[in-house]
Amino acid sequence: MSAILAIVKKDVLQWTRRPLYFFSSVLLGVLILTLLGNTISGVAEMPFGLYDPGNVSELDKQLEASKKFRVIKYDSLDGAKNALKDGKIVALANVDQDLLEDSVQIISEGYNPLVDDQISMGLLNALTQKSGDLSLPISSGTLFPVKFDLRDYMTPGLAAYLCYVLACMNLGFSWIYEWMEKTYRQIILTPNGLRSAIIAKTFTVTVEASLVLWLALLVSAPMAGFQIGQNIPGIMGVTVISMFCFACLGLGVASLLRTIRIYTMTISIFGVAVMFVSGIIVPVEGMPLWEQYFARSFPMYYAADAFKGVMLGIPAHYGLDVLVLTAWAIVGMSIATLLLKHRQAAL
Amino acid sequence: MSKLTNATKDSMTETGMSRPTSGDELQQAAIQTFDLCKSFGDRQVVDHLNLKIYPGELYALLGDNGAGKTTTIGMLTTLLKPTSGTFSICGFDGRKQPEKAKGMFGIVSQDIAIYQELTAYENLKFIADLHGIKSGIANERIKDLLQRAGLADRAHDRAGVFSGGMQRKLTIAGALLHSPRVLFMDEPTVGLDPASRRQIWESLKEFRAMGVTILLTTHYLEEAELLADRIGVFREGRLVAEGTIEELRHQIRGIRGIAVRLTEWHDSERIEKMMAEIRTMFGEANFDHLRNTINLSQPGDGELVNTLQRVLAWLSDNKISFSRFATSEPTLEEVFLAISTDVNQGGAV
Repeated sequence: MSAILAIVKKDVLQWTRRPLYFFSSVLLGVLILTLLGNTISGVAEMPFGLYDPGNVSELDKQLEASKKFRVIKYDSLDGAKNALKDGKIVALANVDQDLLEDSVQIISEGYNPLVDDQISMGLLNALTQKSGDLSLPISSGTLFPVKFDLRDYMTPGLAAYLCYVLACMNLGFSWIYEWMEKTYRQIILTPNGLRSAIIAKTFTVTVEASLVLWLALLVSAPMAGFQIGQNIPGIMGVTVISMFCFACLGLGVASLLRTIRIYTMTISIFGVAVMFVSGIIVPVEGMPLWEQYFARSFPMYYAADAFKGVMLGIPAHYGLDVLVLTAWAIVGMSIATLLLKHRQAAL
Repeated sequence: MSKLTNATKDSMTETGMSRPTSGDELQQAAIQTFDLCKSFGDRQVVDHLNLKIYPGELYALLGDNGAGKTTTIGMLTTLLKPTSGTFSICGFDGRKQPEKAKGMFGIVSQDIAIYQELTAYENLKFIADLHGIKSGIANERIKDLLQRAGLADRAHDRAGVFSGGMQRKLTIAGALLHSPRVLFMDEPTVGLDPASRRQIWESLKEFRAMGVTILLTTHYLEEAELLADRIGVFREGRLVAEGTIEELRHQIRGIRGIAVRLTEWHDSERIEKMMAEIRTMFGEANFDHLRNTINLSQPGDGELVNTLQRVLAWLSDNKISFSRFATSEPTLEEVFLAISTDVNQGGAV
């Protein structure tokens, strides 16, 4: 126990000696939560052209009210099309001026599916919200009455992704760095030194990375305008167990790869791939079956599920989440212990 | 010195380390290996090493790069698993009781293993905490070791700003913090300037005087010659020669030289005749025409005094006058080279 405490104390001391590293980590968290979150949750006030000189549809009021669109009116259809061509607007609604026709044609540039998706989503949003006013046979409903939008929904998933990035990177870098510097030798040559080093390192990284994430959430929430909910103990608990899981996995991978260059490349590429399939951006249920199996094999999916539960109050499978995260932590730690025992001489 | 010895005893009690206490155990070797072998694939790096180093002894292991010195240290410090054979550190079986053996030794490796962001004091305090040494005793010992290392006035400076020599001295202080009974030093002076090397040599002498058993591996033959009680010559994983420097010198045939500078200059025919006679009597010999000197080697099986008497008798019988008569001791480098050459040629030493 004294050895574990000594390593923790030393790590904390080192941590305080390089504040730039800590603040850079917080900045990374803030950037991901604000920029990435905003981008993937859909932009607001898209410039949307409207050709309805006779004001037949009153579509401008409905679109503006959805806050998804900023409507720019055009008296000439050609002028509106030129504006679309020049990129001044992302789409154009051409309202038939014949009152009996009652038809609207949506025109977009056509070569950017992502923009088309955003327009479709925005229009669907506006239409379902205003279906009554527009006398449309369309309506929306939810099983669970929630008060959050897509931006809020994205944040827990990004928090899970940040757990992966912060814990894996922090642990991998510091472990491999000390490995290269040969400073582990004096630790592992004390009785039970290797075991103490593994426990202490995963503990300090869990604490440090958790603090970074909480600080990033606190800074980003008012800036980006997302909610983090009221369940603070829940958020802290999910953060700690997720960080611990990824720290253990990072240690396992670091023990295997042993060089910062290969480790960084592997963790970065794998992290991005897993983020896309873990239900953070696109619901897992909407993916091909093989991708669903892939997603459900990795801990990020379960971390995201637990974060959504505690931050948004939506149903989550906490028991399964904790079980899987713990199982992966054990796997990571076992791999690390096994490999490091055989590679002690290199430490 | 006595303060440190007492502190050692205190720390042993505090850290709960158990030590062999019976009379027999205290007499036993501090480090002992029994047919210790290590192979990496088909390559035999250490080949049936049998080593016995006694308490308080400074034993130098000499060998070329790749001779197996560092691998031996790796096994003795429990970092590398031997392929076969066993070893003990202060009576603890290194393979069966590695955690207990670990408490007995300190190690100074070729690398400077210190935390650059931490001060000298913090580095040592960390090691003291690792070993569970109580704060009061740890502080006293840190102060003492920093003093000995000449770093007392730099205790609160970050280790990252220290010179290479200072960092190495800090590493050595760290290895001694838990008052180990055995100290492994794997080329501790490599890359240091002469002044720093000398400081470390002084420290080593002091540690040996304190009763610490030291196993030193080095490339520097002068280091081994100056410091070691016994020397082991390692070649291709095998201990090819072992003993004190005197014993090693004795083991080398014809390495002790005898030089006789003649007073008169003789013609070639006379010199040839003399040399033929000398070679018959003493074996290898040559004549230095420039210095008018006969150089011959003492036969390996003969005593020096007898050899000298025979040479003097021969000079007297042949009425050869000389102005200078000198004997020379082989340096360790000569011994090492002779042993290495002999082993390479398949000869026995």
